[in-house]
Amino acid sequence: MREALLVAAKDLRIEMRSRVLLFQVAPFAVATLVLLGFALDADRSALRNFSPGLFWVAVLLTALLAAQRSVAVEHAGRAADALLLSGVGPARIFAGKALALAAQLAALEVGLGVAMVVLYDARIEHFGLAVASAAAATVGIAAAGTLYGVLAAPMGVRETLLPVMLLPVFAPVLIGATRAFGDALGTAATNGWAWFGLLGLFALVYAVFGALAYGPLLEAEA
Amino acid sequence: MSILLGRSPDRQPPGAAPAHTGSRTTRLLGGLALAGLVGLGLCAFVFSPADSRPGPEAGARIGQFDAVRLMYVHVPAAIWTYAALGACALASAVYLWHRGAWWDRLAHACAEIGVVLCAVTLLTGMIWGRPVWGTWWEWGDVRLVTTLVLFLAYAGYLALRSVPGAPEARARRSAVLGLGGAVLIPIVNRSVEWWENRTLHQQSTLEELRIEDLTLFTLVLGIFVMGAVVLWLAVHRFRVAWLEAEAESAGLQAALAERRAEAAAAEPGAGAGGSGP
Amino acid sequence: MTHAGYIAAGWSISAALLAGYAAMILLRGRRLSGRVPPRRRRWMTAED
Repeated sequence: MREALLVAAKDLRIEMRSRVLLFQVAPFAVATLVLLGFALDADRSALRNFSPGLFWVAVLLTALLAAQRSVAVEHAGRAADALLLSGVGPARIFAGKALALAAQLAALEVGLGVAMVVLYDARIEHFGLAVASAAAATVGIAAAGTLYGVLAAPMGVRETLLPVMLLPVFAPVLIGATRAFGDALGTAATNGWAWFGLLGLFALVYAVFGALAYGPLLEAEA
Repeated sequence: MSILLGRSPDRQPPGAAPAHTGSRTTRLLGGLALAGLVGLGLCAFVFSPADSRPGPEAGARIGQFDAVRLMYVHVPAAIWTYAALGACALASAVYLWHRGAWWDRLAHACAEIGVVLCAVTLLTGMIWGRPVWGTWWEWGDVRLVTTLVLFLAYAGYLALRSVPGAPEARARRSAVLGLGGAVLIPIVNRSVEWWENRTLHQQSTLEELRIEDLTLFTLVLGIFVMGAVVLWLAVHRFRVAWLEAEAESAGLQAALAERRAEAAAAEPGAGAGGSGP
Repeated sequence: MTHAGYIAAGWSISAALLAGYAAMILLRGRRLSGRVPPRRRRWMTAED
């Protein structure tokens, strides 16, 4: 666990120094939210009703960028080889990278959440449910993003290949998180905690699958 | 295994090598499939009745009427889609365990056939849904939406496979992705089921039809005929995958030999001593 | 026959897709066969 945290800290430190997250990914996320607003109407109640779905579409599109970024960091200068040579187990490397990605996504979601409240006039009625389901969804997205990111990593066509592979995987997350937020924001009559359970299951399944599959993938790269 | 690859070279009688992927097995399978298709066509359009039964109101009749004839393609295609993609996931899992190139090629063949069949399933389903449900697409239907996600997921798998690269690394990545599709599907199914807790889809087409004997027979015949077609496709596709790998390595060998010949020609004295790499 | 147009469309699209795919596989097999030495094509038989 300590090693996983070290890997996560390394990724976050790189991110802090390069500022790509702050100056490129975050503005992209907000721009997506604004464009989605244009795509609907200037109608306040429509925007408020659809705000959970729009929010999560923006998060998932942003997650694609962040996942690509997380692998690109490793691939530049063949840092992956160094990581393997350092003797840290692949499952721990996976956990660390997924944690770092989750932390970045969480920061982005806070910003997007504020933007959603301001731009779409959304009102958060059940704060606990919103935070819990966002956390579960984020862990799931980060686990799947880290695993599929390394699948696409060494290819020259990473930018186009990753979305094709990853977006179908995000489908259940989008459904689950949108419904859970629908309950938390009071726009849909549904049992949000059941959806939280589904998001948790997704996160668990992809965390385990990723931890198991990361070893063979890293070896394939080296 | 021997069905897919045929006899090994040392047990083969000498003779002219065919320049195609056919063999006695595939010709047998192909003949069976063609004959089956003719029989299926007859059963589906001539012998089997339209689906129609007395409705609740006197004199009115309800049912799918002749649209039921689309089921004889749709249901077998759906069943074999899941079988082919399941086989892909299984072969991927075995590859990650045992690392045989054989399993990698089997997974590739199954995935491609599965995606084609999945397209057939979705298209015939939509064409059937328009007259019977009154809509081309129904977001509330669990199986429909799940199958679409399945299609997209394995289209992504084929996209990954189409990228050139080192065969061994590509095989491992593909195996993880092929297995990932199987991990994904139950979750998608569950989430769509909760998402719209209503479904248009029959619990099972077999129950819903209030089967007349010939309808059931035609459906089962369709499943067997589609099975023969799928098997024929699978054997050919596997051999194409085999040839692709062989051609890739043969091309590499040829390029290496060419380079060596060039180098030897450039420095006539150096190559003879055997001191070079 | 009811829904004749839908039935014709459904069957012909399926047939075209499967036949097209089968033809593609066969052609690819023939093209690749030329680039692989005969003893690496294991399924060949003498009667062909």
